[in-house]
Amino acid sequence: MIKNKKILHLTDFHLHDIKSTSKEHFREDYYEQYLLPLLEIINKIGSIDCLIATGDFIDKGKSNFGNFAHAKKILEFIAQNLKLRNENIGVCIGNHDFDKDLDKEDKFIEARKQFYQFAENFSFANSLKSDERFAISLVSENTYFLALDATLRREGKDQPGKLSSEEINTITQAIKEYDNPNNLIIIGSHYPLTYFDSAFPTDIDGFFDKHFWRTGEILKDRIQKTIKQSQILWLFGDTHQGAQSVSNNQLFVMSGRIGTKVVDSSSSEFSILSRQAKVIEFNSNNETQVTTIEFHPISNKDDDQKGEWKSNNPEPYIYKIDTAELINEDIQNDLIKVIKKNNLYKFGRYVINNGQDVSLGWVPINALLTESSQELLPHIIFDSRNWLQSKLNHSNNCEESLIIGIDFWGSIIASQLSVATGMRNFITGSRGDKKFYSLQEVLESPERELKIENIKNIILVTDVVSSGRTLESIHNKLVDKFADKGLKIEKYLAIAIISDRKQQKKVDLGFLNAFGTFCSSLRIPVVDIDMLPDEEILPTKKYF
Amino acid sequence: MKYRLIETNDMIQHLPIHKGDYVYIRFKALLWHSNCLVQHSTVLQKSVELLEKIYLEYETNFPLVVSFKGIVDSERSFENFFGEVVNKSKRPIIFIHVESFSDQLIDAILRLDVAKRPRFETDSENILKVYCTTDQTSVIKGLIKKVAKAENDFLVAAIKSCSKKVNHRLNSTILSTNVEFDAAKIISEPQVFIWVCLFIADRLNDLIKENFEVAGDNFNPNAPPIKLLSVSLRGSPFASAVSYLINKGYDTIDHLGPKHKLFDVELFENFKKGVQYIYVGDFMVGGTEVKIAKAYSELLGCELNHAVVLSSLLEPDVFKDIVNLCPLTMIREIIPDAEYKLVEVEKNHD
Repeated sequence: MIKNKKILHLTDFHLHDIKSTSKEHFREDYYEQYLLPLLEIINKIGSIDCLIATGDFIDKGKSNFGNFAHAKKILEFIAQNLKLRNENIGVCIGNHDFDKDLDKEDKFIEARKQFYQFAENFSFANSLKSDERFAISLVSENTYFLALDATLRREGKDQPGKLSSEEINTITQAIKEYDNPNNLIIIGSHYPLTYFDSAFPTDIDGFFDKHFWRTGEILKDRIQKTIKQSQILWLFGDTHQGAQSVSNNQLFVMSGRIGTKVVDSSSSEFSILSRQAKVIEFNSNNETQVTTIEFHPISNKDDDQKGEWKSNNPEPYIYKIDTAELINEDIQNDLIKVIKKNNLYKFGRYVINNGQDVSLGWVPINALLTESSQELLPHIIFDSRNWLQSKLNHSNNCEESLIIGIDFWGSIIASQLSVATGMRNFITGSRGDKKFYSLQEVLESPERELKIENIKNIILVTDVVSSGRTLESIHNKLVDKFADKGLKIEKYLAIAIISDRKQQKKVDLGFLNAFGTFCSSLRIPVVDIDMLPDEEILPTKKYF
Repeated sequence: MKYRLIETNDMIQHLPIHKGDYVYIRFKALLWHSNCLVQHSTVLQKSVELLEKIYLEYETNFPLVVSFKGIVDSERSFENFFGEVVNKSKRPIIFIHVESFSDQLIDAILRLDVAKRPRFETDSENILKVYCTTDQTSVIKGLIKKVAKAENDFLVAAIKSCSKKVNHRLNSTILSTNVEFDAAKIISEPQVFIWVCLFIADRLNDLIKENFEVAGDNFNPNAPPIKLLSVSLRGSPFASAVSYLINKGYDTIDHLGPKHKLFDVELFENFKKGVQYIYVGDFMVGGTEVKIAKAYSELLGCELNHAVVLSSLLEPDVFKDIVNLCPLTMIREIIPDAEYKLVEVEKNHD
């Protein structure tokens, strides 16, 4: 789980005429004045970990190669004001940043020589892996930047380049090495490779051919399937407009231009799109927010002198959680040792969730936690408390949280976690049909009093999460109970002894703000019931 | 295992019992809350720090009574507690059930400089009284008897709080009743749950001493292992917690009551033979759960001859041929008008 990272994203500087007499905000004697109020706002958001700039530092290629020096000066000025070092700056190339004539002659490296020299001033200098298409560098602690060259091999046209299958394989394998739950991987490409509903117009004048990196989209899919543990952030530029979206638990952010020359509103080059910067903020609760800071000219006209930076309200993005975070690897190792030593893993047809799914594996939790090792449970409680406190930002007022213990072992852990934290708990049976429990034992019973006033956080505790259906069902019932009283929960967290991280859950657990487990590497496959042979061939071993 | 020490939540409002003219706490409760019963020296000190916090911050106008019942470990250091904390506050404190712990506490006092050393006295009832001025002796007089009553009052109040007037048939028997108990209410409140578990642990310790330990020799290597057994959703949190408090093994069967539905089909593979089970349950009316638990235990090649429950409708004598029943309380003493009667079969009138 990555912790409290803030990334500043800038793009599209388009440094063209930087003389003092020009009308660009980044002109030599004005850029500091232009940027300082922006940097003040950013500093108020909090300490920035890295700056990523996604291309078009200069305008129109080789005629302005000299402006790379000014771009370096601007980035260093920003870094200095945000207390960043040059190695905290990651850059990738835009379609204005190279010599198009040489590029047409397939002299790719030569065409990009000036950009490479510019990039050497930043994280690029310490690339961990690179070739002509990509470079991976460390831009901050546990934060890796994959810079993509989306302009390479564009067949002489003004369009994104074409990625080959080999390149996709190479990049995917290269980035896989950094896939770790503690890492944030930022992928920067000048051209967007995902579709933004809010930003893209219909395909007028071949817009998609010019601005959408189609072969990059294949790379995106491969990376999404390959990188399972790290948080991924995708950053794009090029279109001069901002947008963001979440797909498959990954955040895609496209920022609007920060530069470009000021033109009169009567000019065909005039754009109503605002100049902007975005700050992407991750916290350890799996919550992400994007703050867009826009430059507003004082009048309706684009103005090279007057205007002010204004911060929009942060837009929160909550990720769907389907993979539990490992709380303590040592406990996982101990649990697996006990399972192996005592031969506790059973293989067979275990019908769960009233016949909806079949689990192919089964571990008796009673034997795992009591018969075989009396010490494991206190350690699980101890670390659950630490984990909960970190997820509740150590500001836990125990009166605001309620632990829900699900079934036998969930209830046992919940009651002891209550003692450790001071939070109240509520135990409930869920297995099988509710007819197997008395009315006093199930959550949905109207006879059971659930004190929920002042409760802001719910912590669901259970032994094994396989399909995720039980958590979803309990969540839905809680939502109803709270809604009946006009209340809403701020955070849902879940703790399971075992949850196979490779087993895709059958339901969306996106309501969870955090999900922790003590054993994520034990494979317990869950399949649809019709994937298995008939009962006469493979009889059911257990039915919930 | 790696341990990260963190500040525990502020539980000082929840752990002690405050009764008018004194505050009472069990050291075992502090141990439980602060280290989750993990046996590791780096976390044990947390419980002494929690005691210091209660001593210095919680209802400081009243003397503090600390019970060491059930504490056998003697690794904790109280030197700082007596030298710095007691010396600073001068609040009278009485340690009861100190037993083997007494010498260690006294040593901690005697090792201090005379100027820092609080007054103390011991008596034959495993009591160590620590105070700073002689006029405090009158304040602490008679508190020990009050503590025993306070525990009983707390237990009765806890059980009463989970009763509800009803008029229907019980799930586990063919009896109908006008009062129903829900132990989940005790489990849900950490303070109540801690104390009730401590009371069950006391009863179990006495039961084990009386029935399983050879006189003069607490450890018989050839004796069959003693384990606690719970068979219901609301009995299991008690049994599991108490198993750690008294350092005995524990098993669950999911579940035999109040409605019987066996989810643990691998039961016979995972339970070991020859165990002496002690049933731990919440409320006992007709004894159905304990009878089924006994039958399963015997089927598994084990024995189940003793049971500890929070409260029982019937006197232990009624069950003497089945188990040695040790209820913490009797239902009719708590709810005198509790009624249980056989469900009458409604006749069809043509």
